[in-house]
This record gives sequence, C-alpha cells and structure tokens, in this order.
Amino acid sequence: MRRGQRAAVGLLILSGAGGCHGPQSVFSAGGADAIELNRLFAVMLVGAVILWISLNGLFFHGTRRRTGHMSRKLAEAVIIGGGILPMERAALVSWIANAGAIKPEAQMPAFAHLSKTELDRLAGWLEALE
Amino acid sequence: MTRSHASDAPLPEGAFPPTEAMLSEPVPSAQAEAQADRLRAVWATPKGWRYWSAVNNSEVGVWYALTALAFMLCAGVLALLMRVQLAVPGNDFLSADRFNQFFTMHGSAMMFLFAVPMFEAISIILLPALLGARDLPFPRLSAYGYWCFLIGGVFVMGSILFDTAPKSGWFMYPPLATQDEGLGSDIWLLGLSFIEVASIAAAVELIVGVLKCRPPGMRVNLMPLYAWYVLVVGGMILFAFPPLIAGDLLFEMERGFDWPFFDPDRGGDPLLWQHLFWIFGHPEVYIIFLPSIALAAMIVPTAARQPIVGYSWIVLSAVGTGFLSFGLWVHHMFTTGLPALSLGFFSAASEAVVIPTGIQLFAFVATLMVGRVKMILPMLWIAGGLAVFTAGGLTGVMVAIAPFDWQVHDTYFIVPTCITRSLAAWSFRSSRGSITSIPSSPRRPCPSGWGAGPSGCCSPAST
Repeated sequence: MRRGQRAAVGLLILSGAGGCHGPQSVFSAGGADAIELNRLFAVMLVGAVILWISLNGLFFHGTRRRTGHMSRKLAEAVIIGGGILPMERAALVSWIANAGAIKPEAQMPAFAHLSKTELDRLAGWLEALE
Repeated sequence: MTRSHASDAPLPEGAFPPTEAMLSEPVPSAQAEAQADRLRAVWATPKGWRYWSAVNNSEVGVWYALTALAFMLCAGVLALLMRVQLAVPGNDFLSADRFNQFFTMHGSAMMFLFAVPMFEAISIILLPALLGARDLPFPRLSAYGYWCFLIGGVFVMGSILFDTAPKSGWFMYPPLATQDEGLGSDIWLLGLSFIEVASIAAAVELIVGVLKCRPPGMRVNLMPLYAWYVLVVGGMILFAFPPLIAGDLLFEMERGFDWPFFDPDRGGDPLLWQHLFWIFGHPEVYIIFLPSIALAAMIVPTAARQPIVGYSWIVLSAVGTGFLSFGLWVHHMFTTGLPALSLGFFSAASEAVVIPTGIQLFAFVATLMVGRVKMILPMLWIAGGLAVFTAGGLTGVMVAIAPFDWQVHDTYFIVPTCITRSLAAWSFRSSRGSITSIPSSPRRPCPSGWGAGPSGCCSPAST
C-alpha cells in the first residue's frame, strides 16, 4: 500500500471514531451509573478479544506453524488453563523433580533423587526470591 | 419380514456349542450362497413404491437429512427476504404482518425443523457405522420419527403459503401469543408438538443404540467420542422436550378452551410459559452445539494423526455441559424482574459452563499440537467454526452478567450471540461433509451399499 493510501485509510478510521460520540454511542456514557457499565463492557471486550486471539492463535500455531513438537503429557496440561503452570509449591516441586516430563526440550536435569523435604525447601527458597 | 425367512431355513441340528471340528468343516458353496442371498434379501432396500416403507437407517437417515436441509433452505429464503426489507429505511417490501410471520418462521424452522433434526439425521446415518452395527435397535421408531417430523414440518412451514403462519416470535410469549388473532399460534403449537415427539423418538433410538449396539469388546470407555456426545445429547433431548410439550398443551388449552394458565387476571402467570419454554430452550443450545463439536472431536485426531488427547476430560466435560445446561435457563429471563438471588445463581451457572466448553476446545488444540497435522479440507471448516464459536461464545459470557444483559437485552448485541453460535455449530457439522475417513469407523460398506464406507453415507447429510 502506498503512503498516500495509508494516510487516507488512517484518516477514514479516525473520522469514523469521531462518529462514536453522541447520544447512541457506547463510548460516551450518560451518567454515573452508565460509567460503571461502560467500564464493565470495556473490560469484558478487551478480555474477550485477548482470549479470542490466544485460542485461535494457538490453533493456528498448532496446525500451520509448528506441528508435532509437544509430548502427550504436556498436551494434557494444555487442556486446563492453556498449559500455564501455576506459580505454587506443588508445581515447582514437580518441575525440579523432573523438568523433562513437563517440557521435553528442557535442558535441566531431573532431580528426582532429592528427598521430598529437600524438594520442598528448594521450592520454598525459589518462592522467597523476588 | 425376518420371521418368514427364518421359517424357510432348515432347523438347526447337532451339538451346541459347535466343536472346533464342526467349525473348520467348509460350508457347501451352494448353501453359503443361499444363506448370503437370504441375508441380502432381508437388508435389501424395498423396490418401487415400497421404497417409502423402508426402515433401515441408511434410508431414513438420508431422508431425514435431505428434509431438514430443505427446511433450512426455506428458512434461509425467509431470512433473505427479511434482510431485503431491512436493507433501507422505510421499505415497503414486506407488510408488518408478513414480516412477523417470516421472522417467527425463520427462528422456528431453524431451531425445530433444521438444527435438531439434522443432528438426528447425521447420528442415524453415522452411529451404526461407528459402532459396527447393521442398523439402530428400533428401525421402525426412526421411520416413525421421520414421518412425524415430515408431517409436522410441512404443516408448520406450509402455513406460510396460506398467509396464516405463526407471527408471535419463535418463543411464543404470552400474552402476545395467547391473544393473537388467527390460526398462526395454534399451527405452531400443534405442528411443533409432532416434531417434539419425533425428536424424543430419535433420542430414545440413539441412546439405546449407543448402549446396546456396540460390538463385543467396545466398552463405553473405549467407544468413539461421537457416540459419547450422542448419548449425552439424547439424554438432554429426553429431559428438555417434555416440558415444552407440556407447555404447548397448556398453551393450546388456553387458546382453544380459554383455560387461564398464562392469564394473570384470572390467576395464571405468563412467566410460567417462559420457564417452560426456556428450560427446553437453553438445553436446546447445547443440543445443537454438542453434536457439532462431536464431529470435530472425530476429525481433529484424524487430521492430527494422533489419538485424541484427554479422552476422559472430553467425556466428562460433555456430560458436565449437558448437566449444567439445565441450570441456566433463567439467563434468558434476566429482565423479567426475578429476585436478585436467582439472577446471581443463574448468572454464576452461566459463567460456569465456560469451563467444560473450554476444556473441550483446549483438548482439540492440544491434540493438534501433539500430532503432525495434515491440513485436510474439513480442518478449514473446523478453523472457521472455532473462530466463529469463540466470538459468539465470548459475547455469551458477556451477556451472562445480569447488569450488562439488562443493557443489551432485545438489541442487536444478542442476535450475533445467537447466530454466530448456530453458525459455528453448522460449520463444525459441514466439516463432516468433506471428510474421507475417521478412525474406528468400519471399512465395510453400510448395509444397503450407500457408497463404499462412511464417507459415502454422510456426504448427502452435510452437503
């Protein structure tokens, strides 16, 4: 697209946004109560857009970009919460004990030989770090 | 039919159970041929006019699918005519009365004459093939359901040609519908009762089919996910449709005999109808959606060339969605002035349904990430369906919040929420149309030889 065309499209979008003001606009709230709702709508809209992009992006990534790079075990974690491990004691303990089981490409060796209390103290120390 | 053939056959004689020696003895070719002929005769499609007396799933399923498709095309034409009317302000293309008729009939036809029957049609065609059975357990019941559906559908849809179509909205709210002049609302109530009976018949057929027609060794925890979804949806139909039939009868008694069930002046309650309608209507959303995502659950592992990830998670969330869907109906009635406590409860339950739905979608994505995906044509439909469904579903999450729902109730915000989800269900279903094979489906052709394998069986279903 040439620079002139880009500028024209930009101006068009800006002038369109100018039309969002007025009695029927969702952007300009008409009173204190409406502001609350307006905020609710904005938060939900942003959240929905982020969720939409992430899920469909994950689908696109899995089908078109990188296929077959994940272990079944990790994939089962994806089912809940998109594979994000919660930052908590149990997750840290299992990560230290065997990182490869969670992320196959991880270079970190398994520390399964450590006792349960040692793992727990290590995880506690990690949690204490800023 | 089977009995008359059985009487021709020679009476069994000799030891039972047969010994190894008896089993290894070759059957004389003439006898084997005669046996095969008798079997073919039993399963043959009736010829000539008797074709319409067929009860085999491969015929009934195809009729069902084509009829539902025809009703969908009619409903689509109505939608186009409505959009023409709405294209410019002050248009006089349709009169107000006719617009109301088209509006009501579009919604009713898409819900009752297309979405649910199409699920039943595809399941009637596919399920025996997936379970390695020749037919469903009660073939005459499927045929009964089909003819019921056809009669009810033609009755309701045909009314539009005589300018007497129902015109009080596809949800028939009283007092608008109870005080409506003319026959329209009666046609809706009576005609759709036929279709509801047909749906219950199909649901019974499919539930028993899943439970009793599995091959030896295929336990419920091993059966194809599609069969699981059919089981869940069958159960939902069984619980969701009777309240609507009951509501239809009460409504017709009010209209026909002036019994005041929904008339507040004489002690009735118009909200009773809304409760009866939506306790059907909300599960209906999932009755439409689950069979569609069931097809995705079969296609995704095929494209990923890997068994599905989290089989039990998917089964649990399908059952969970089915269960939760019966606790959400009041979110269609947030603006009716119900107590805040009920609003809070139903709002929370409506949000909760996101969890099982999300698990199913994430399980599909996870399967794709594990496997080496081959982008076959149905995957494009799945991609489109996912994009549309997540958009529709997320707006659904927004309107589940009661204060926000009060603002957007009866606005164009609700229309896309409803339409995009139906559309997503449809595109998941269309994905079935172009697939070549799915894992665990038998390689042998269907009994009547409708093409060489399941793909041949289902391509007419989801054109």
